[in-house]
Amino acid sequence: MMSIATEYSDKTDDELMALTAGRDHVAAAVLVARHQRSLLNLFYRYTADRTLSEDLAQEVFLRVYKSAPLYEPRSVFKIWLYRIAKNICFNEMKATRGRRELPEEVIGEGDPSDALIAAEREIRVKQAVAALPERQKLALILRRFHGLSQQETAETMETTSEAIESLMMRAKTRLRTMLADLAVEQRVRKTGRALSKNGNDANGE
Amino acid sequence: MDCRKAVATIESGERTDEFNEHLLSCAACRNEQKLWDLLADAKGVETGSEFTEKVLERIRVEEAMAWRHLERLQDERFTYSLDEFSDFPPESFGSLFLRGGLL
Repeated sequence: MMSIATEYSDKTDDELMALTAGRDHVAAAVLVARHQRSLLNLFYRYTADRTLSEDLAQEVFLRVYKSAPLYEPRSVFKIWLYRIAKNICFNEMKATRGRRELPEEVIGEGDPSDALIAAEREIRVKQAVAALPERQKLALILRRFHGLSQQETAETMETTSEAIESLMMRAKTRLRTMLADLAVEQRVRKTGRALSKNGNDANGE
Repeated sequence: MDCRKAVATIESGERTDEFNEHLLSCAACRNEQKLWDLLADAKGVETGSEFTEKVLERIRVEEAMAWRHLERLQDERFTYSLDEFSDFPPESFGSLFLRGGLL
C-alpha cells in the first residue's frame, strides 16, 4: 500500500476524487492523509476539544467519500472541503447549543515559570477563540490559521467578502476584550526582561 | 495607506514598506498586529497515520452496511413478488409459473 500511495501522491485532489468515485480506497487514503491535519486543526480550534474534533473530521471525510461519485471539479477542492466542514461545524453547534462546555485543560505542576505562563496563555487564547459566536469564529479560524483570503473565506461560508470583513472586525473586537490582560502582561514581561538585561549589562554580567 | 488597507495587509501576512511606515504612526494598527500575533498561541494538534486508518475503517463499515441493506431489499422484493402471484386465477400464467408449468 505504501508504494501505491507514493504513486498517488503526485495526483491532484480532483484526480484523487475521480479515483475515489470508483471506490479506490488507496486514493481515498491519500486524500485523507493530505487534508487531515488541516481539518483536524480547524475543528480543534473551533471546539477546543480534541476528541470531538477527530469525530467531526472523520465525518467530513466520510461525506467526501460518499459524495465522490457526484463530485464535479467546479471550484477549488479545498473550498469544497471546507464548506462541508462548515456545515458540520454549524450542525454540531446547533445540536449541542447551550449544553457543551469547553473541556478543562490541566497544566502540569512544577513547570518552569516561563513555560507555565506560556501554557496558560495558550489555553486562554484557545478558549477565547472557541468562545466566539459561530460565524465570527469560523471566519477568524479560516483567515488566521488556514491562509484563506477574504474572498475564499466568503466562498466557503457562502456569503460576501464584505460580510467576512465585518465578521472579522467583530471577532477581533471581542478577542481584544477577552484577552486584554494578556496583551498587558506581555508588555510588562517584555519591559521587565529589557530592564533586567540593562541592569545586568550595567553590572558587567 | 489607510487603516482598512493596513488591517487587510495584517490578515494577508504580506509586508510592504508602505505598511511598515503606516504601523510606525498608527497605534490602533500596531494593536491589530499584536492581537494577530497573539492568536498564534492557539496552537493546533499533530496527526498521524492512525487517523487515516480510522477513517478508512469507517468507510469499510459503512460500505458493508450499505451492501447488507441492499441485499435485504432484494430479498424482500423477491418475497413480495411471490406473494403477489399466489392469488392468480388457476388458468393464468402466474399460476402456471408457480406450478412449474412454464419451465
